[in-house]
Amino acid sequence: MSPHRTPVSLMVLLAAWAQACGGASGNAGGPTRAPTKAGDVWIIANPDDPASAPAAVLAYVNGLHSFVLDGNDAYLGMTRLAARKGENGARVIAVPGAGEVQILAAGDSLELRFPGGETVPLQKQWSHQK
Amino acid sequence: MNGEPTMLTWKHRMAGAVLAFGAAGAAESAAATANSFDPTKADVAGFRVGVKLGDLDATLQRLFGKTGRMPGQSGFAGYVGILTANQMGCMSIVGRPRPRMGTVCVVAFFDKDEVVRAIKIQRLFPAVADEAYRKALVAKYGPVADAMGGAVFLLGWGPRVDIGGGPQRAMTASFQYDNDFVDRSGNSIGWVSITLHLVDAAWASAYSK
Repeated sequence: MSPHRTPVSLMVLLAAWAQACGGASGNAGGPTRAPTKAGDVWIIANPDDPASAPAAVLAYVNGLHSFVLDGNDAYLGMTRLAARKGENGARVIAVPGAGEVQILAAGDSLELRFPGGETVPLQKQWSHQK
Repeated sequence: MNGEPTMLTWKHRMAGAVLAFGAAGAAESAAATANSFDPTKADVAGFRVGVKLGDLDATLQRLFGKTGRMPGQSGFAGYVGILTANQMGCMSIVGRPRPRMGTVCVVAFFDKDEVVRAIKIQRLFPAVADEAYRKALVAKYGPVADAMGGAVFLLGWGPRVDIGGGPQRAMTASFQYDNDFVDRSGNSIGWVSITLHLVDAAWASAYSK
């Protein structure tokens, strides 16, 4: 076997394995299909709460009203953003147009905190596909 | 609530002060704004145009559940069908339960090659000041190229598009109070509907020629 064939075959196998496991497709920075199974879908908790409505609007405009969080990868619609570690265990994602948004643990759940101080609680979405 | 919801003061809060310029200045500013906006690089709530229909479908199913596809031109000859998620879920229909806050509804329009050429997403919120809407959108998309007040607070970015009865700009956003007669009687608070609509303007223009 040619020494050049093994890496290519390995890459094909890895790609097939990633798809079979529900991984995402596409390139970082470009439009990306959200993973079909990996990670969790997070949505805004208490969507009828007027106090958090301004933050909910901000979350919606930027695709954070319903998103997949898979480890340090956040899928905002079809936009994948990599999170970095922030203070107090927060994950921080740089969202174009919204700045650095923190994803913080809040008890058993999470909350979003925008650079302007707006916060909105999240809850895990259970009803689809998991 | 942050501020009093109002439709009367929107002109004074336009980002980029498009309306604060003189007539010539406003026209130049709007033209510059329209030219600097690239719909193929923009997103609405994370969703893009120019993507494969299958990729969008999979993403919508993951986020919002069941989707549906329907053939048909949907108002513009270049569209050969629509992909929907919860298509009717944001409508208030007499005799049916009212939609729940937080409901999200999506319609995507695709071409003959199953490429998404336009996408419209809508979400329902409790009563919120229109300033929150304007501020979030201007932070994301920059100064507006167009705006219109009234019953619907409409903002627009990017080049003009002509796709029949649809939006007039590549990117449009609308903010609308959705109150019925029960709300107006004072027994409950209505909700707000915010819709974002992105069109692949260059494709639409090329298709029309």
